[in-house]
Amino acid sequence: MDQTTTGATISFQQVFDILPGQYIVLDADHVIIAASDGYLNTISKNREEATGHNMADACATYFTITELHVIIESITQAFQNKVATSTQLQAPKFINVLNTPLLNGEDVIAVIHKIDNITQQVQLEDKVLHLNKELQAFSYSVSHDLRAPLRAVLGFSRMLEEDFKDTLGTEGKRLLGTVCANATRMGELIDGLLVFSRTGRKELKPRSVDMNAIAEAVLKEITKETNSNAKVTIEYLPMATSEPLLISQVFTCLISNAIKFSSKKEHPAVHITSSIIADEIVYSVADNGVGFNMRYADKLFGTFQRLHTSDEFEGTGIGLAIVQRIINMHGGSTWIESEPDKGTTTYFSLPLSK
Amino acid sequence: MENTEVEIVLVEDNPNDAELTIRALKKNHFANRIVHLENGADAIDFFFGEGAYAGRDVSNQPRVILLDLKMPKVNGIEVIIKLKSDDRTKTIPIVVLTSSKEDPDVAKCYALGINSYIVKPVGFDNFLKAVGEIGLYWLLLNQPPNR
Repeated sequence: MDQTTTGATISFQQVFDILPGQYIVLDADHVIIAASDGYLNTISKNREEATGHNMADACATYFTITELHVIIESITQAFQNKVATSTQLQAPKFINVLNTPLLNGEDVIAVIHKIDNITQQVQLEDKVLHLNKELQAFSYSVSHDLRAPLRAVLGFSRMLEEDFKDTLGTEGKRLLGTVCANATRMGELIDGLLVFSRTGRKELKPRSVDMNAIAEAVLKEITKETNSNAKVTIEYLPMATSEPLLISQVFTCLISNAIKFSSKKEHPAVHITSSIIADEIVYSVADNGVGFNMRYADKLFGTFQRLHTSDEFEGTGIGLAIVQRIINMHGGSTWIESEPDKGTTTYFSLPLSK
Repeated sequence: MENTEVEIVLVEDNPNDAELTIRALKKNHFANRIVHLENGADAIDFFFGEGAYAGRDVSNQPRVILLDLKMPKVNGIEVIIKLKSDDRTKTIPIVVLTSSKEDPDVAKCYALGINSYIVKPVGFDNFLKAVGEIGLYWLLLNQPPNR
């Protein structure tokens, strides 16, 4: 900026030339004194067509009569009450209007009238809401409509097995077993998908949560269900502001993964700890299991991504995707470190409570 | 047959689910006097002795109704509303059987006065167990109002 602008004679036009946005300056008769390029673009007028003209005339092709009425009312109030006024135009154009009076002593000499067209934003928000509703309907339909045929596949396979036991023979039974195993697996995948989509829709009601208590409760639950001989150690974990049910889902996934992928070791060990780094608490679950090549690390948080076959380790590949979604919802992040045959450490961070 | 005593009424439009349910009931020895109705409209006719069931003794009501929700024409919710708003039928226990716990109608069903809400398990063993437990509870354990 050059030196002369430090004086008091800076014009509105000079300011508007460098300030992005949509502004006009109006005198008490609502005549446009100055206009920003953005404003002129919006109302599709050039400078000559706007400045020196009454605002209502200059904008008549852009605003409807009703819209103009609302805007002029708001501008008039700014002149009269000597305070900033704001209003919002609703459908079809969503526009935020702000009128700031310029005072010279007690007198309002002009009003800066600023508009912000948020129509696109409102439309996007509507679209997101709509898509969310659609997704909800979709997941209902997935769970309802896909489960019914699966139930028939499994049920009728069983009837076949029971009613034709003698004629089926060993090979027949093996084939039927494969049908059932696959139908069962498909049921698990559908359930996983449902949990995943439900998690994203859950409303967060975060509160201060005792992470040690959660980790220990989860561990107890898991050891009850699996006959694991893993030695699990849980160190002190700081409290975190979070949604306890979701965090317990995170620990369930990470601890069962650690136990699962270390189960083939002679002395499986799982270590749960934490550290505070900058303004985040980083929690980690480490195992001494099979590990994996870090080349594939970025894949693991995707839905149904697996690095092992179901024969090696059972699972659907949805767990870490759910973990990542939950942690992202809390404003944290997830990452994983591993080395083949050495073990894997999965980390998640949560913002430090203020 | 319309005046023999009925113990279980199954209202289910999916023939496969119906066959599975009936088989599961039989396996659990609750095969006695099951009536299978294929849609909500038939259910209304049955319980109020109308249409194809004109002349049925409507004081002869089952010990329990197993009701699917998603049915064409007259759906399960409409059946519940109809049954629960009539003195002749409002005391019959209704067990809703549905495919999904994602169902937006769970709360609505309870508000309308149903007695139980069961998600049909996908696996046959669990399905068998669930149906067996429903039979055991409603036909043997539960004490119905004066009959």
